[in-house]
Amino acid sequence: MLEQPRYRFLIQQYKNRIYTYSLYMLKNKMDADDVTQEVMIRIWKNIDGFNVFAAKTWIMKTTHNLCIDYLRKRAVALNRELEINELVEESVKTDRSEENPYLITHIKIMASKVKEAIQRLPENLRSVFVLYEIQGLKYKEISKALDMPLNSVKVYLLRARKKLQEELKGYEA
Amino acid sequence: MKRKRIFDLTDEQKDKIISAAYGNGSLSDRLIVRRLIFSNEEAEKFYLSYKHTAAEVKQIAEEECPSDILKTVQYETKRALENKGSFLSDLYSAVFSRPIVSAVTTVVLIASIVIALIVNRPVQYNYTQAQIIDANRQAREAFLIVGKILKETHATLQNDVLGERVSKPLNQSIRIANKLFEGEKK
Repeated sequence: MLEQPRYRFLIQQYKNRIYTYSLYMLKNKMDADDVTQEVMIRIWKNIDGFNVFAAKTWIMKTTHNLCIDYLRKRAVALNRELEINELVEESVKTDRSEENPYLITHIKIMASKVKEAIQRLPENLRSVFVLYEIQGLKYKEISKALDMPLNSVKVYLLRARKKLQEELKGYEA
Repeated sequence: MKRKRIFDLTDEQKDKIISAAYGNGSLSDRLIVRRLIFSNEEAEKFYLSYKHTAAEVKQIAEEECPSDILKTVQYETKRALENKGSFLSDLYSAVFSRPIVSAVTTVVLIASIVIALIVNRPVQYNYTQAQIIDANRQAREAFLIVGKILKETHATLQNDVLGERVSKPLNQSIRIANKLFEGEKK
């Protein structure tokens, strides 16, 4: 099925977005894997009636809804925190290897702290923040994906930024 | 060098500074923030702290989707495709994976066949010879009665109705008409 050009295009375009969003929302690699897989299968099932122009919103909405389902299911087992440090190595660009080792370590630690702080944000703020700041969605797209009024998106984003700042207070240089 | 003043920022000013630090906000808001930063040390500190976090956030790249997910999806979709499209497999799954459905269908089918047989069964009459003779006799008597009535009706029409009530007034009217014609000739 991945041979089908339309499907392949969508998967190539959105696989990292789906995975990143799931990872930030669920804070657990295994669950993020499951959600990503499920979203991809849903895209495949709906591929015939798919409006490619509305794909981004549809995909993020589906991902968000699945993440919420997962969060509800495992509300009891919240202590399975994601080992975010595992992912730091992958996300920090390798082309900085020639720079000062102290600086690299500092960047890694800071990036790790920021990611952790994002994950500590309340669920409603986190979803808006990740979609806007990391996934680069517009206010309108977030509003559609999360079924939320446009003004709420703006308010949540502002609150998320404030909350993140509070979380990072101790790490400021 | 001009010393910056320190005064408390309002919530609205803070919101504008945060937006500006993250690179959002309208042009006018950014200008207001710029002026604030230059004139207020507190605003500058506030702006820089957010600006630093914003820079860190902007550095965060999307996580790479593990390739084994794609492999699993490919396998799942391929398997689904293989199981899809065969009429026999659909029928098989409809009958065997849902026993209640197949049981109900069977009961309805049998019931409709039985009802159809009962409704369309040909009627068979078994009469004795005596009953047949008796029926013939009764039919003949009935025909005799009907014949008698018809004869009486015919006689009444011929004698009473046509003679007295139709022919007589008809003749009278013709006679009157003749008299009238004769009168005119004179």
